[in-house]
Amino acid sequence: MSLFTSNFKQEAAVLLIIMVSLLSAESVLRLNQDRLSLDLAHFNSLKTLPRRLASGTDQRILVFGNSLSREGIDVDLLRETLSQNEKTTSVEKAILDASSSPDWYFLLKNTVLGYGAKPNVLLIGITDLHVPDQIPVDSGRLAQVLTRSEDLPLLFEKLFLTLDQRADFLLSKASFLFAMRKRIRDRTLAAIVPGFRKNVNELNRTAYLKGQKSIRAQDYFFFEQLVKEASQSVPCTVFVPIPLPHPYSIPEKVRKIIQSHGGHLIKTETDVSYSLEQFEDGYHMNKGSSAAFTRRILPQLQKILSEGCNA
Amino acid sequence: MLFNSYLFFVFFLAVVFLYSKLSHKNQNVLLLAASNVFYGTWDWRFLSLIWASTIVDFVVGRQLEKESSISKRRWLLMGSVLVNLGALALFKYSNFFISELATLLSSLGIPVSLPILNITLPVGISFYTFQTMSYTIDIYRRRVKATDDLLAFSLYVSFFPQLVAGPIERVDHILPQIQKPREKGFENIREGFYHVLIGLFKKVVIGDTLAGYVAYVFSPHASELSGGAYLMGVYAFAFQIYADFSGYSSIAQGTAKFLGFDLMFNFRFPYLTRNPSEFWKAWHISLSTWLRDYLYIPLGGNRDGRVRALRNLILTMAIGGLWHGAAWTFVAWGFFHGILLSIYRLVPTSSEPQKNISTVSLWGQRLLMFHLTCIGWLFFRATSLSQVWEILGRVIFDFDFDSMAATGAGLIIFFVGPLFFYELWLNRKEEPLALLNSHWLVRGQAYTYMVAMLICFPPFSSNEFIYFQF
Repeated sequence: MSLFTSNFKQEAAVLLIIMVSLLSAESVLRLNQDRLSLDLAHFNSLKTLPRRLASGTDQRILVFGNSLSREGIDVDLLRETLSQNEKTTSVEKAILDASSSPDWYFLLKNTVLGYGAKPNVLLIGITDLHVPDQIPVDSGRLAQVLTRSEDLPLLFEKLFLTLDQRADFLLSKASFLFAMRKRIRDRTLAAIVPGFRKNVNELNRTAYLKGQKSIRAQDYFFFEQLVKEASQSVPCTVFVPIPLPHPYSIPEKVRKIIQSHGGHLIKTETDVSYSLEQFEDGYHMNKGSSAAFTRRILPQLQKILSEGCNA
Repeated sequence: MLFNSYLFFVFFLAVVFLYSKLSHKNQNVLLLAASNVFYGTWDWRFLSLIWASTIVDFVVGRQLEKESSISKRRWLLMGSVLVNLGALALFKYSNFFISELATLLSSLGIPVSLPILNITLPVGISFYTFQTMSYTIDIYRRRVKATDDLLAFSLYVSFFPQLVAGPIERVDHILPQIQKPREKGFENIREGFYHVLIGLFKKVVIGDTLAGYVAYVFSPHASELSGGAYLMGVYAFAFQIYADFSGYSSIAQGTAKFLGFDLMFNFRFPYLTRNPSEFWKAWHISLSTWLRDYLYIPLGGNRDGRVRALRNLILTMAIGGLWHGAAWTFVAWGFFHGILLSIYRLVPTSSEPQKNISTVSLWGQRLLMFHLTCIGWLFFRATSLSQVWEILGRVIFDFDFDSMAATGAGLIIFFVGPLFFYELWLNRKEEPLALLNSHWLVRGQAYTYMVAMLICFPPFSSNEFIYFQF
């Protein structure tokens, strides 16, 4: 029996419609990356980082981390204060929303250093939640923008351990549409479902707490890689624990990793409860508390810089 | 190995490839081996339970076929039922019975501390146990003949597309398909693809997405939610469980179709039904017909007068509820449906076909039935009976449609709306495969929508199929 029956031709046409639609969506998305996500727009702007962190400047500080660092560290205040002691200072940000140590490691290695930027101070905002390898990562962002083909063995060895995770990563590498699916989902739902933006965090928290039960031992492989990479390429690396509404402390293992690679850890009293009013959305610091927090860390930062960053 | 995992995709591709190269007998050997691998990926230790159930029912079936003495036949049947229900009782209900016994004793003033057994529930045990039991009972009733083909019978018990969550197939539907060479052809691929695609769409896009909202509404820390949010949570669960379970059944149907097998339709638009009787002819059809044939009728059915018929109905549904899980909330759910069916029998109603009644009346009846079903789902999903009363109280006496309720309504409309209209169209056509016979352009758009939704709307957190726990 021939396969090329009218049914076969019709199904081939159906498949063709699917393929053409998906390829069109892929092209449209690739051309409109910046409109899809502010995060991606910020990432794409990092191409100009070498120019912005001009090598003629005395202090070239790069604030690094996730949205907690963006909202928690007042960059203007930092620039203004550090420029007062007759040193030219440029302060820039390399921030990825909802990112953690695996993202930061590849961002530093492949993007910041890969583009040729030469910061002499790396200011990395951390919390106890964002340094272990176990925190869920956005495999789409890692695949499309943060990693290179040569990173694949490391990713498969340390981060994407199951077949499902690996397949997700490879599909994300192949297709921008697939890689950005969570962003598409969130933007669409935020646009059409009433109250979605406000309530999604609450809904996610239930899912997160459910997922938390399965997390046991914490590993810090990517955090250690980040610290190592920073210590080899940047003269001064400073870690800043960012306040959260609930008290927490930086794990001893993390402190040791920072210390063993010559990094600095600023003391920021995250082990005390902050008032919820200090947080804009219950998670990120508001403008007033961000300025107060930056003022509090500045003396320690200035001391580290004045001592030539010797640990 | 979940149907919605890449591992299953690779596994299934390998099976289909090898299957296409083999003779009929070797195809059956391959399917049996693949079914064991499929089940073994959950917990290989429980394969022995399936093998034991298979061998016991195969041997008992052969003996029942030969035996003519009524008493010996009865003993053989009881032996098989005891082995099957014993395994089910041990693995699924022992801890429930132990804790209920302890509660009963302490309420009688005899406080005891009974040991809770550390037992894992084998995936799919409720499904394959009922399937093998139906085989033995049918032979006992001389409705079917016992098979002497152990390979075919083993495959009937453990056929991987329907092993862990049904449909609970009857031997006279599946065994002939196993024993005769299956037809190959493009039609199998075409229909299989349709079932798998719509099944994945229902499960992943609708079921798993609504699961997040449902989990939030029914979580203990959400006790301060508004009545509106609770109502949306119950609606969301009604659609979640339908999308999840009918999605699984569709994928099972589709994967079986790729291999040349026809599995039964387990769902026929249950939320478009008008009354409890129609609902149970459209919801989990393989279980409801099993309960009718192997529980309700043996209990006496409607042979001994109206009162006994109603008692049998309520008892059947309550046991059907307990089949879903070892908790009083499931029993209450079954009991509630038993009461609904009983009331429906007592109240004289029109049995006019849907197309012959007015639109207003039709939608009124559908809406009423949907809301009655939702009350049942509340019992089914709640973590305790006290949560049921708390939610009902909030919805009825303290109703407020706040932002969280609006989010729930928005999610339901966005994700369930298109499926609802699609099923309405299928229902009107009275043809569950109408899309397959539609113009290719229509099919192309429908498939593109489902594929795009599968890609662009991943669930907030991955969830196993709800019915695996039963």
